[in-house]
Amino acid sequence: MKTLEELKKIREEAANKINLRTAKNGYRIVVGMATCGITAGARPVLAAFVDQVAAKHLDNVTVTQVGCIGECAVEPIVEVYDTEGNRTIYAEVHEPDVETIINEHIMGGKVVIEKTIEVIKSKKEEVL
Amino acid sequence: MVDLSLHILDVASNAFKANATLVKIDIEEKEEYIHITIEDNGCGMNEEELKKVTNPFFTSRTTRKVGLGIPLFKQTCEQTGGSLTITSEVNVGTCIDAWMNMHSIDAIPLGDIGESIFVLVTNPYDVDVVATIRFKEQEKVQFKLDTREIKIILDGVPFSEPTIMVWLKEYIKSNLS
Ligand SMILES: Nc1ncnc2c1ncn2[C@@H]1O[C@H](COP(=O)(O)OP(=O)(O)OP(=O)(O)O)[C@@H](O)[C@H]1O
Ligand SMILES: [Mg+2]
Repeated sequence: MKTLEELKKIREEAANKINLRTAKNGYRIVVGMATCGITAGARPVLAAFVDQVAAKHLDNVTVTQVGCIGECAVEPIVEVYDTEGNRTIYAEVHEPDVETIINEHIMGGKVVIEKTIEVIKSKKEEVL
Repeated sequence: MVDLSLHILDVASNAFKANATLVKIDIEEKEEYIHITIEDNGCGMNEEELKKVTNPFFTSRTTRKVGLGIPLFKQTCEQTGGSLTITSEVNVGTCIDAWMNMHSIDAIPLGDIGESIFVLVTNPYDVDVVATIRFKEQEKVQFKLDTREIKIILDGVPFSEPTIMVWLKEYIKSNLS
């Protein structure tokens, strides 16, 4: 069982990393976590991003949550902000998509076009 | 919602919008029932709002016309013969008191409560979270987490640090099993 005692050590390491960090801010990953998002599966998606970021040692990437983004029909929604504040919105993001977004966008710098909200929505319109 | 942990995450998140600084979640698990209280010190609701809050067509949100969180949770409880009651006072806070009868065929499982606690604890609004769980198994130690204690240890290092986040996630998981 993990104890809070251990957290003291982790804290020191994290504090040192913060001091060493030169790049101002890396990517920011934001997962929509309102009723519609939660129902559609946003919680495990957030957890998977946290795991991936830690496993791949992406120290300047933060993962966070936000309330409703207002796109209830295509949840879970994930927003990715780059250093300049440019926003990419991904829709219908499920656990298997997390690694793709991390590898291609966060690590490779290339937007995963087929998961962007624009593409997901236009596909839905085609069906209708 | 497929399990109680998702309802708890959803309804407890209302405290963030209500400008609370603290939200307390208490879960008592018994063979026959699960009793959940979610209490915050946020803006609260007046009598009129309180009357409307279990109605899905009441919401203060602007992105969608209906609020679903509380009506859904209430329905989940009531379909088992349990109940959900809300008490609230303006500028004092809100308390949700929910009972679910576990012997009912309509009862849903508790689910991955650890993951819900993790998401609540790492909220970006700096709202403190206290979570306690008393399990039905006598031999299982009760779970208790208070972000105010964790913040003292972290001494300025934010929860959003990837290594801290993942440690918290594992910590919660290991203390629940
Ligand atoms: N803890 C609280 N403190 C103050 N007001 C609350 C609280 N919980 C709910 N409310 C009020 O009740 C409304 C309905 O809540 P509910 O969770 O059912 O829906 P919602 O949060 O508006 O939308 P969603 O469907 O995303 O949950 C909220 O918009 C808010 O005005
Ligand atoms: Mg809500």
